[in-house]
Formats: sequence, structure tokens, C-alpha cells
Amino acid sequence: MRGIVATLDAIVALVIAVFVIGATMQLLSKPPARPDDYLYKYSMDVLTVATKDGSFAQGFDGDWTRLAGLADSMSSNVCYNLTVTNATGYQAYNRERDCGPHENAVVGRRVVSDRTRVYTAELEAWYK
Amino acid sequence: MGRGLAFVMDAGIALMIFLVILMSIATLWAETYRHVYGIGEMSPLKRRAVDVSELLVKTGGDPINWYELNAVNDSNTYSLGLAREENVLDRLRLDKLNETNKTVINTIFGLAGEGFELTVTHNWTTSPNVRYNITTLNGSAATVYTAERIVLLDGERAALRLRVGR
Repeated sequence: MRGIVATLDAIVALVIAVFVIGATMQLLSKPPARPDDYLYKYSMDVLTVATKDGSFAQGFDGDWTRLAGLADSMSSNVCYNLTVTNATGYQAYNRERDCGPHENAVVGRRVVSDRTRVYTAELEAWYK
Repeated sequence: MGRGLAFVMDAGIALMIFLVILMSIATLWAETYRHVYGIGEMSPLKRRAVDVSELLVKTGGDPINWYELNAVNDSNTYSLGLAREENVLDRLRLDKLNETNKTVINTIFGLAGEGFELTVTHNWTTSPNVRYNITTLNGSAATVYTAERIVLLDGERAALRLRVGR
């Protein structure tokens, strides 16, 4: 049985060594870019203003032009995909400025209501 | 169950617990590292512009009634905020900021070595109508970073732009 105990020790040591080496290698490499904090705040600004100026309410009444205007007023170097979806997956609204690869996109979310149902407004944004 | 088997089970359980703890620590460390790296990578000017703009559009300032003070200075006002509520600017606060000494604003913003330009504009995409422009920014500033925020002022959409430079 001594031989087996020695093998277990070796396996445990090997697992730990591999783990430590892997973690060290990962830390030495450049980490993936972190989503932009400012862009996230900017996205949330749009959703907050849309809620407070009645753009979502007007949209649920059938006129989405106000929300579209707000989305289009976002800075020209920002691409976006704006969706309003309910819990069943029904998409009440979608608008996008698809102007480049979705690299390091951020997603702002806000829950909105048409007085009877609850929707999630999601604004995905990334730099051109 | 023989003694040998009991020992192996003990060792196995101990090893699993050990690995779970080790992996949790590694995950936490990786996330902290990524966060610190991200902040470190962001230029100090950008960081300041974003942080100050966040205070302006999300808070009412500290003290909350700073706009009622006779003379705003860095002894009686700790933070300047322009919001009546989140992303809704208050004209009283904007008017007070507009008449406050610009050097004092610079100090309260924490921009000791930098200048700033704050503009609030209605119809900023079509026919820009500048409502406020407060600045200490030197026209020859070599590096300038702009943070744009979308807000409501008097029930209308507006863009608050904060340029910070040195």
C-alpha cells in the first residue's frame, strides 16, 4: 500500500503544480478588454431618458418615432441594437445602427411597462 | 469498508474541497486583476471626465441644497450635482453653477491640474441650442477627453458634455 500512498501524493502535487502554472501563465498574459464603463453609462442614460420622457409609453401606444429619434441621437461613433421584449419573447420594438463588428459591446437593460405587461428594454452598444 | 478505502475517500474529499477553494480564489483574483487592469488602462483624464459627469447627472450634490448657499466654496460644498432626479437636470442648480467662481468649481470637481468645459445643449443633433457653457479649459490644452451624457432639462432632451483637458 505504500506505493499507492506515494502515487496519490504525487497526483495531488501534480494537480496543484499544473493549476499554479496555468494561473501564472494566465496572469502574465494581457487580460481580455473590459467592456467600457463610460459606454455602459451612456447606454443607461438613453434608457433612463426614454423612460422619463415617455418614449416607451408612446411606443406602447403604437408610435415608436420618439424612441427612434432618441436612439439616433446617440453619438455617431457608437453602434447600437435596441430591443424591447416581453417575457414570452415577443419583440415589441427593434432598431439598430449596425455599423461595425460587435467588439467589447456593453448591454444596458431597463424594465419598462405598458401598464399591463412588463418588458425588458435592452440597448447593446459598441464603438464603430 | 476497509481502512484503505476510507483513507482514499478522506483524501479524495479533502482534495476536492481544496481544489474548489483554490479555484474560487483564482476566479476572484482573475476578476480583480481584470478590473484593476481595466481601470489602470483608462487614461486619468477619461476617468475624471466620466466620474465627474456621473456625479453631475445622477446626484443633487453634497449638501443637497448647495445651490441655496450664498457663496459656494470648497469648505461648504463637497460635491456638485445638477440632478433633481436621475438624468433630470435642475435649472436652479445649473444657474447657481453658472454664477459660481470657476476656480472653485474646478477645485470641487477635483480637477486641480486640469481645466473643464461644461455645456448643456438642446437639439444637439439637429440645430444645437446651447443653454449653458461653463469653462476653465485652456484653448491650447494638448489632451482633451469628452464625456457626453443624455439628460432631460425642462422636460426636453439635452446633451451634457463635459470636456476635461490639460
